[in-house]
Amino acid sequence: MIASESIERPTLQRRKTANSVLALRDLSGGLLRWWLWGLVAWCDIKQRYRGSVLGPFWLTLSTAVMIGSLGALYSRLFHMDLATYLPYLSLGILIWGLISALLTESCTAFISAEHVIKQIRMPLSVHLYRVIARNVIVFGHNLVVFVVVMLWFRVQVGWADLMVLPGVALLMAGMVPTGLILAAMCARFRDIPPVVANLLQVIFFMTPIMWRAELLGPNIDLAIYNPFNCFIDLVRAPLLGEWVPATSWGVALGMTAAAWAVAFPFFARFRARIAYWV
Amino acid sequence: MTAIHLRDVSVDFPVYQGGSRSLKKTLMRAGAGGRILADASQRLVVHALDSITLDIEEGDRVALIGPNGAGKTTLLRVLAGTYEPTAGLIEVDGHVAPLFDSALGLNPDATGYENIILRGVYMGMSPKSMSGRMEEIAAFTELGDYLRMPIRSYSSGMLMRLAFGVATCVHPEILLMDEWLLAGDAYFLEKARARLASFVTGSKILVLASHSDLIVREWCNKGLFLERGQVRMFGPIDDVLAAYAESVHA
Repeated sequence: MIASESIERPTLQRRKTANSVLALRDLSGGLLRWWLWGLVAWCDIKQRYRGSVLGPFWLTLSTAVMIGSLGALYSRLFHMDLATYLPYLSLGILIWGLISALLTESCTAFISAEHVIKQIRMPLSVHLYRVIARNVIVFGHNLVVFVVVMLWFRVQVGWADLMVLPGVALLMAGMVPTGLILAAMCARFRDIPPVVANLLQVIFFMTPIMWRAELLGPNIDLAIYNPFNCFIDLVRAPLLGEWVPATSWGVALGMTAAAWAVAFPFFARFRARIAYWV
Repeated sequence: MTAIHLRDVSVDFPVYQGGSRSLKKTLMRAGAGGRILADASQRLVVHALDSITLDIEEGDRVALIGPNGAGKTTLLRVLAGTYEPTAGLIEVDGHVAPLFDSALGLNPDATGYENIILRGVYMGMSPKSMSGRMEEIAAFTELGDYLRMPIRSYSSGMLMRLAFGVATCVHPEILLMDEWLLAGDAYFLEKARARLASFVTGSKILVLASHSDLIVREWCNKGLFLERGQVRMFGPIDDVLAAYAESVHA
């Protein structure tokens, strides 16, 4: 310590900003950088399918094959009319695909952005928004399958379909805090991703996607209060020309509020540590 | 006014060994109370930076000097704002541009042009403003038609040209550099030097981690000698280099 000790130093006046303010700034500042995560998400998609003829429509094609064959089989198993079953099944699978991909990929949102997190200061939420944007793009491609099904079976389009917009908005509002917890937890504990993947597989069969809730008979509550079913309902029901049940809205709103209530304090507390974890 | 102030900044670095990365072990530790705690504390903590107090003012071009593991890279990351200190205060006034890794944000399957935009966007530019600088950058890299090809096909020197061209087109007030600028052929190095000269004059503070006396003397007027996460000496570059040389040979 030669040169540095002799100078009298001015004390820094600035006090540390509260963690919750910093967390809020991170989440909103990240959202404002839409051009960043939008572009990177788009590049992710392009990279996955570079050099293939169909490009991202491979996704559409494989979804179409899956829905087509499952539809043909299960409509017979459940003795259901293909014209009502196939639109129901295709929407269920598409929305489930979105939700499960969001949850699985949120797990690696921070881990896979390690080199960026360590080198350039930017809101951490950017990496989560990128994952969400990427999967929404995939969902958009897959939606083509439903449009075809809709045209084929002449599903009625009406004003009730517009209720899909608040439904998608609530789904996203619920996915951000859930993804945030998963992304941060997985950066710290590397054995969470396989657990999540496993649970999702079980939940897929437990949730009315391939089967209808009514088939449960007296146990229908198992489906009605299943949060996954509720979130799927928000998008599925309007597009099938039905009204979303109030319970679905209630459960989805409650789950979203609960997720924020856990995620926000958690993120505020550990946000600064994430760079050290990844 | 551009300036960097650090007050008693410390960075404790947890090193997660196999066990403490595991959720199961952590849960079991929480459940079993204090008994396992003693031997389960595999959580090694490295004091990467230890109460650093430092003032860097406008016009300072600081070389970070010190043996491996002295905390140079950690300090650069703290200055870049990616590591938030575990203790102490840091105040950075000015737009910071870190140049740590030439490959940051590059996508090997995308073309040179796409990567120029991508890299710029990571550095905080909007895609639109990057399109505006495209010609300037393309001219600087002299990669010509290669820019239409995926950068997977580039040699490391070509990659460096591209990364360097993009990195220096953002005019920051504070420039942080790790020692990565030394690849490339002699012709490019000369060109990079000229570009860097105008770049460095444009930015008001430069902090550079380097082991090369030559580079350090050419670019810096001050030296910061770090050792085991502490400031050993901060002052005029020649004095600091002399002290460092002495400590190495001692």
